[in-house]
Amino acid sequence: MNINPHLLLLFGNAFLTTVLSVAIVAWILVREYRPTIKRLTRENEASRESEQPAQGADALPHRE
Amino acid sequence: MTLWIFGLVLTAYVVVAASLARFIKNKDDFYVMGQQGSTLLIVGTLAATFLSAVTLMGIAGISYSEGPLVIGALGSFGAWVGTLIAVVFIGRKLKAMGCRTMMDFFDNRFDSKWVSVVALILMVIGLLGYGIIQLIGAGLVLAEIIDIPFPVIIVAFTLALLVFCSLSGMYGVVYTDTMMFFTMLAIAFVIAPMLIDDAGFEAMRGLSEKLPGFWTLGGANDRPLGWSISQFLVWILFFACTPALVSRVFPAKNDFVILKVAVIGVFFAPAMQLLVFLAAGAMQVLEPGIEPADRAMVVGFMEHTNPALAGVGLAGLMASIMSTASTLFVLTGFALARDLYEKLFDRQVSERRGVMLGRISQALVAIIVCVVAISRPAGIYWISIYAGAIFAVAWLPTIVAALQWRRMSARAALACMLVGSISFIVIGELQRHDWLTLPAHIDNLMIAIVLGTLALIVVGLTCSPSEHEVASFEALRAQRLSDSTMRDFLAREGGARQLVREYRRVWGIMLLFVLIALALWGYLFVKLGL
Repeated sequence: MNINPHLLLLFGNAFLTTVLSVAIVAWILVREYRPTIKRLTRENEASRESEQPAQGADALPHRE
Repeated sequence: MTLWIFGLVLTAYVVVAASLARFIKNKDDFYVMGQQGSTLLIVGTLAATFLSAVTLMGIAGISYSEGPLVIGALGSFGAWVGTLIAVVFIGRKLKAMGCRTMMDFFDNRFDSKWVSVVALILMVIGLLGYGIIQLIGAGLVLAEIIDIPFPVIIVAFTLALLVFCSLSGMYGVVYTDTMMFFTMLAIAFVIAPMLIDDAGFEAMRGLSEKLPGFWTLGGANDRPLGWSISQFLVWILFFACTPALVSRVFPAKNDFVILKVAVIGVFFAPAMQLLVFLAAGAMQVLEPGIEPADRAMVVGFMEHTNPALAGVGLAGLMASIMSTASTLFVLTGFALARDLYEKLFDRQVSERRGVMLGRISQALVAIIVCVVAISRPAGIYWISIYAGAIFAVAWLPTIVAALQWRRMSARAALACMLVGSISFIVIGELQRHDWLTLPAHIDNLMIAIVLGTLALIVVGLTCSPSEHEVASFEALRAQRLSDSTMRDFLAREGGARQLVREYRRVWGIMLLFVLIALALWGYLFVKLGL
């Protein structure tokens, strides 16, 4: 198999661009959003466990 | 036929833009479309602004004559990563600070009229110089193809831009950009694959026998690696802070839109460009000897597709000219109305008067653009040499330091902008007149950015920042777009549910686009590189 390293660089860079953007967005989501999302999910689960009716704005979807 | 398509497409853009004028109720609507931009609209305006006539003609021409890797492998990679930086680092941070225009950042961060004046002058020269020269270049080619006089093309474009920018402000620009984005997608995902299929992957691979080096980084002309690396640096520095891209996120509805745009919009940058470059390479198989080479894609549209697709191709070429031009010119108009008149002259204007002022300044810009483009004075060609890259040398170090360095001050910003831009022009002129020879692969942009950064550091270390500058730095460090987005979601009824859904949706989009990118680039590599 004869690999053209120049074309590997071309398409590798194109793929790397998406990987970079995904990695940065993932880092933002984990660092800035995840704590709140986890708290909201925990609160939702706790409220379901105590069989209280979901309260308007804080009602969360069931985890699938 | 082509004339009909030209008229029809232009009319469609104008009608849509004109119908959006009813949404303009206040200055926020005019400048940032009331911050109601959806993911589709922001991806559309970002991708359409990114893809200019330079891709469809200039770089496509180089891909045709020397090979698709010459600019595509490193120079374009710089542009893609620069776009990512512009969206996710600079644009997102500036939006978190509540900026409506790029100039808001300089005003809020430094509160210095001198910094604002210098930044404003550089921005107006940069945007107009880059925009007008693109309009002239592509307008001349389009005039020849559809066989109508160049001044008529420019007047038609100006009238259309007048409607986009003056009547509908950012609404007009973003919606028409999104329409144009779809014609560009048709070029990249319908016409380009057709041309590649016509040529055949085997025949395309065989081009390296006829034109040695066609499938290498250096291309058929065997350009040195240093040249490719300098292209990478030039494009990444230019794209990272050009107002045309950074300001695309200001109309976004919330942070999730920006995060999705960072993934989807940045995926489309290489997807649209590389498919066009490969199609230009395919044209070397289908029709060698096209002169000048920058017509390769136009010949492809006109002679190797059916009339309907040829029309779509021409519409895409028009779109690449108009989308970039409309963004550049709308920002110039905003700079004149909001940043120069309202803020620098301290004029308090009502919402209604502010919108009127914005419209008048857009009309003024349209007239200037029309007159300069038709008369084509020698000076505009001189300005265009330096216009595009002025943001890289003067603005990029200033903005990065202002976002990251506590000691950053108005004096350091001034020193950086003046030393960067002046050294860039002076060294460029010395080179142009053969009074100075730089080492191989070193250009005036690299020297100017180093000098500007050095000036910034020296002045920053020797002068203490003012109380306002320290306070503004602390404030900007504390401001996160994610916080305001979560606050907005949780304030709504059922907001928590929507917040979790949006959060999961972004993860889903990330996974989807990694898979799409892997499939697309993997397929092309297997077909051409193995």
